[in-house]
Amino acid sequence: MHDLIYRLLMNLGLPVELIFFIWAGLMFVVISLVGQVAVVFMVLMERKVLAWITQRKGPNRVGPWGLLQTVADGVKLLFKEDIMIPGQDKFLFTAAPILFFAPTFVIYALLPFTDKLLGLNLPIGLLLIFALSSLSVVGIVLAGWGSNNKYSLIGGMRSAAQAISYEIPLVLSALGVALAAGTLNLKTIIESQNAGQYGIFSWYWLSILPLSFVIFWSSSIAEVNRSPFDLPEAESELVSGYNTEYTGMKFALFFLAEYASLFGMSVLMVILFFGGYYSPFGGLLLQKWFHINDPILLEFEMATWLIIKTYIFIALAMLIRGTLPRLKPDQLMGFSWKFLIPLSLVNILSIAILKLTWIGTGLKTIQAGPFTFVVPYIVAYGVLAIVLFLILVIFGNIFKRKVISRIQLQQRTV
Amino acid sequence: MENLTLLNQISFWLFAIMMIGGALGVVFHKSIVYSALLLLVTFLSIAGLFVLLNAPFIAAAQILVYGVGLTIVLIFGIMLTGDKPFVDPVGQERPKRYWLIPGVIAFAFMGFLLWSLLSPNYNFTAVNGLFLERVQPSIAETLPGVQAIIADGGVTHIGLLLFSKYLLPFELASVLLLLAMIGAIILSKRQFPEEEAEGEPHVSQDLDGGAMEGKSCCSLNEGNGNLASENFDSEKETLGVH
Repeated sequence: MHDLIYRLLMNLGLPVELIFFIWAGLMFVVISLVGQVAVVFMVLMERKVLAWITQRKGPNRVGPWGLLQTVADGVKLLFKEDIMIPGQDKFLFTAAPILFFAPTFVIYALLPFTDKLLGLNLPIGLLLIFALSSLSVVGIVLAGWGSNNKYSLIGGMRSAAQAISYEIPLVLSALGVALAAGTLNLKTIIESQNAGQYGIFSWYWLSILPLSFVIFWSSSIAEVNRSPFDLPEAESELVSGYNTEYTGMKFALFFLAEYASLFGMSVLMVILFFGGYYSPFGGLLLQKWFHINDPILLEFEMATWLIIKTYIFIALAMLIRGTLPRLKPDQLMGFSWKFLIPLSLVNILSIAILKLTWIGTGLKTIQAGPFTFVVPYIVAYGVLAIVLFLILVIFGNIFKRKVISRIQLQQRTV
Repeated sequence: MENLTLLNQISFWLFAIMMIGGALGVVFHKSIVYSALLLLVTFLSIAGLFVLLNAPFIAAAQILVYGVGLTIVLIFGIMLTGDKPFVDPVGQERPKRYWLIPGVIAFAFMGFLLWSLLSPNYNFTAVNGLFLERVQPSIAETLPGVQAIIADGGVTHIGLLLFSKYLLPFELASVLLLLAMIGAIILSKRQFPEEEAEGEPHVSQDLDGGAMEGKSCCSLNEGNGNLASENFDSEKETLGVH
């Protein structure tokens, strides 16, 4: 189908640049539509899940089982008045939601939903995704600043501090994956996970378990400002933080972009650690079990697997929101700087050591092959990581004690 | 320049105008928040120029590094200035000639760069035959391996260059960053004992281990969590003024 559209455009006799623009635009529209629809149902799903956890019924009036609730909300937000209070910086106040919204949707153009439904297959896709997600923080800070509201400003500042702190473990743990696969191209990362042919056992969540995945998961939850790391929009202390003053469509943009970034991060996690668009049994089921090679059907199967895996992680994020209490700001910072960052450094070191030593035996990239290979590999990885981490902890504690004893000494002399 | 396609030419001029306009705005705008925003425009345009030069890796690194850096600039702007303009030209007496020396140095350096670029001896391939495909396709085709370099975004090539040919500058830059970090830690540590003498309970809390991290702490500056909470306190103070 892709070839068909492409050939059609070529036959119209348009210049190559124009075709590229139309092609990229078409891809972007398709993919962002996927994103929008996903977000609409994610909002509903979140409300239903939270209602289920707190033993309520949740939205059930608009449409069958409340399915159209979010659509109705969206229409309502579209027609709401756009309120600006005096003293607000008009330009920043308007620009902030756009600055927050745009990068999160550009990320969709870089994610391989199937092996062909992919806006841009860049060799540096992974890096660019992190670059874009770091850009959207600027939008939050500007929103806090432009709102002329104390709570918004505190929310914006918190968000900036949080995003800067959790960016580091996020990128470092994804760097482990890049190191293992030997590339920054997302599609190649997926393919090299599937190359093991052992399905779920050859994906990276196992072959570089547990550290990379756990670090990535927790810091990605922090990166998209979700509970228990949702200090920037803590509704009970900041009246929902940086978006307090926003109404109508501007608020809707914030709301949409938050869920869009959760969806994007979940897709990225599936791509990095859970084999992307491949089935958990290795390869594609239609091809493997039913010997169907129709490309369009295979595309559908790939998209289905990716969406299923993604929604599992989204559901887990919602469960976490329903169960865990919010952290305090100092706990939040301490968790990142004192725990996640040392852990991710250790993780990278052990992956690098294993890649240099173990992989000399013939494999180019780290991938779980037969179990005879996997089990000793995981054991070596775990032992190495634990030893390194213990060394860090022991030295850190010795150093800490020294500092504290010196301080106490000074206090006594004072 | 003749070899650029139309699209590349349009993009080049767009990015160039945005870059220079943004840079001028950074200097001339009165509010530091706007200046930071215009700085973002400048950096993004530079990233765009890198993409036009077939260096997407450097472009992404540019966005990543300066996106985060810019957030910090914004925070400083908000914390230091309040809602007044950064420089009040009427009420404040400014030292007049401080701009002269850095201005002269900057223009001298720019002149040197322009001179070396425009001189007929300047040879693109001599600099490094890396990102030339769109600039000079004829040269790029003759260089072996250029297509392969472009195909993976220059990641491999840049990595190899950084750890072989340009190892010394690379390490020097990292030492510079390390120095800045150690300096920051020492500067903040110097006040540390006095603060602790006044507000005593911090240390004992940390000895017991926070709720989340347990005993696993190994950070150099163990007052990090406290620092963060102090930051928030100081925010509230600035807010009170504001």
